[in-house]
Amino acid sequence: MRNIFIITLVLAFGMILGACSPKQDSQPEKETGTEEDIQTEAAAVEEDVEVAEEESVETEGAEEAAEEESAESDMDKVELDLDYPEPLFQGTPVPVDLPNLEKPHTKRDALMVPEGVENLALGKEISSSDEFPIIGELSMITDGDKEGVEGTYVELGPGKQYAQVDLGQEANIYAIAVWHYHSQARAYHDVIVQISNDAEFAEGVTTVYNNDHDNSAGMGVGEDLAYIETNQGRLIDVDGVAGRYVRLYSGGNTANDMNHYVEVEVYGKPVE
Amino acid sequence: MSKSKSTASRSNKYFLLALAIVALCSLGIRISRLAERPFHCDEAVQAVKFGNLLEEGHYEYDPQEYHGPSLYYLSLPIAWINGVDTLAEMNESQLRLLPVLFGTTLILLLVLAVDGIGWGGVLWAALLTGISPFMVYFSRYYIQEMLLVFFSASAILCAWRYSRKRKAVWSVFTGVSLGMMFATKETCILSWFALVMALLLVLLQGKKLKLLLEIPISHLALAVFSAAFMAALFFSSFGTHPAGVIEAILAFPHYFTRAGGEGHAYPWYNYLRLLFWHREQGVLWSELLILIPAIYGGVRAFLPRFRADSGLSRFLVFYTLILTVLYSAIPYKTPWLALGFLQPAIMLAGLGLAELWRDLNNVFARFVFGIAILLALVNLAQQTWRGSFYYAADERNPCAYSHTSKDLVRFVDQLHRIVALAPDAKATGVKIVAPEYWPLPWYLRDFENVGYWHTIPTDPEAPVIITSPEYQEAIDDVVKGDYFKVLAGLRPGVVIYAMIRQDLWDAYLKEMAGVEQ
Repeated sequence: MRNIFIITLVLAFGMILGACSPKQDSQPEKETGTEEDIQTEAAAVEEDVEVAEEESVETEGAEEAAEEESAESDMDKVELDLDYPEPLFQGTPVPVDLPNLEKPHTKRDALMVPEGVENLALGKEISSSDEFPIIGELSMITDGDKEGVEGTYVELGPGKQYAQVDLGQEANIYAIAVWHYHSQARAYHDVIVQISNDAEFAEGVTTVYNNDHDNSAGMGVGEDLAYIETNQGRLIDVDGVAGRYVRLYSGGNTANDMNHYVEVEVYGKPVE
Repeated sequence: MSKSKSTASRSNKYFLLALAIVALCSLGIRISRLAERPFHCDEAVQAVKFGNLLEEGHYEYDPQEYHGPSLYYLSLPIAWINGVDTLAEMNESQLRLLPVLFGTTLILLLVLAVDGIGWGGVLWAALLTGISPFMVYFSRYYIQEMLLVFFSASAILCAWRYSRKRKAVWSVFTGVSLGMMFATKETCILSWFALVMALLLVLLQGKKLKLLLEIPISHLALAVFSAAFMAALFFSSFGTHPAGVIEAILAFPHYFTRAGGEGHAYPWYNYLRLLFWHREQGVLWSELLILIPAIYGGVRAFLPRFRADSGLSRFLVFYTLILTVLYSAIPYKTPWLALGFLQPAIMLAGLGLAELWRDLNNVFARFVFGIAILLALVNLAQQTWRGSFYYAADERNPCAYSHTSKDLVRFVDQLHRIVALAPDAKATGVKIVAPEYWPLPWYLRDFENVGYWHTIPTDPEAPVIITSPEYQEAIDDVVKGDYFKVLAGLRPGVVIYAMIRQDLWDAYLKEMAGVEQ
């Protein structure tokens, strides 16, 4: 008797679950636009922009045109076939574990600097917005080791952080090279490089690189390009800007929200 | 009622209360900041599969990928309770609530082991399950694994209850659990094999093989029927797709083929390294503080002066070892598969700690033990916090395998703000042309005009094009409009380029400047 009761319970449980599952045809088909839709919409947007530019003189005409368009579109309404492919399902992604070295044929343009220019940052004192790095020491930034493996880079905390090199005296700077992290394909956000004679960067600041395209760092929109880290680092043409301090900002990267520095080199000549 | 019975009953109540408190605290850890970690590619795939069931009301089992349907069907009540009927309305927290509930109920389930490993063992095991970095991390992960772990533990403990009481109800529960294991993940065949082998070894070792013959046929039939019924119910999509049952059985050879690796092949010791000594870029992870008492518990189960009935503990030793060897021998390895043998190991660790406490018979030794265990628990809790929150999506985390970067969430947020300013808003055309784009289908689920290509289409032009560095040059050559390019991270080592039509980008910059002012 007890066994029958249990079987009945299990069956009832199954039936309740079955009854509760939504009916197959109770939902309308999800509508998705087509490529044609998008082209049409894109064209409409372009038209809208043009109309907006001329609106002060042609408002009435534009309204009429819009009405005609609307009437036409009502008459011609058809349901278009889907053209956008659905996402193909994918299994667990395979981890990427390859050093992202630039293709052999890519060669950086030569940067011309005055004779006698040298790396003034080597071994110089470093300060940072993150005084207690998560990994490594700040001194690693100017220790001349740019191999990029564990033990050669410093990790600063998440979000916007900076590292600052004190060259010891004012110098005319012609180039700055920075290696954030090059053992993996990643890009650092909001890379901003500034030079100043003021350690606090309150005055006399020259920004020599800024790829913060949407001003998310709040230091102004930059025109420089975002880039994927490689073993070649980033070479910034500075053109003889004078200053004692070099400050480098970043705001996380495409792999995580931390900030890393393998090495920073500042090429210049001390001001006589 | 005698005085001793009354005392035992009162003490049981206190133990139950303690177990409930541990479960409640564990729920608190598991449910905190659930949406914070980006959706892993696998979570996104499962979510979109669930979305098909939610929106179309129909599911058909696919024997090639994505495992059993229990995850999807058991997610439905959460959607109904939240009153949502489209995937776009669902969020990460709602979906992850299901593994959270299973991960927490797993702790309460341990009460069934009381007369196998004692109340001390149960409470220690509950505590370790509650704060184990791996257990917490994957209790917040929308894939099948935590459900499989729950049903596996349930099968073991219900069978244990049956062995103690010989009541038909426990044979039904055991059958239901075994059936749900299959309905959750076809790879449960490894656990089934380990279950049978461990059972035979325990009986052989105790010279009790004849106990098997004493099980009434009716009880066995009930267990088999319950298992078959539950599996058939789910694989047939509740009777609407009967072929699913056959397909599920025929899927076994396919999963055996996949065991070869498919890009996820790692050496045999990989799980041991991940669980017990994983040092990555200066950050150390280790659940040795679970392994050591588990070894003690396992050894103790075979020593004299052990508790009267050592059946469950010895079974757990065999089961854990067999499953560890099986999973280690298979080249295909992902971190979540380790949960299969970590869970029984945690039960042994609970037993080990309880036995160690009993074995230490002087106050000083117990004091030292208390301090040591407190430090161990603090260390595990700290690793759990690091793993589930601070480093939740960081490649240094042994649980974060090929994980989506936090940067993708930042980018998706930015894309939503850009598209919100477009004349067509969410109907703006978005073309995604990249060899890999998951979990973008989850994050762009509310976009109405989004298409996905693995290769470059004839006309890739659209207001927003998302592509990969290898396709970007070719797309640049084809598109006619002006675009602003934004870099974003899909996961460590994989970046994507978003090409935003210049007028949309300009409108976004204008909006951003307005916000700043």
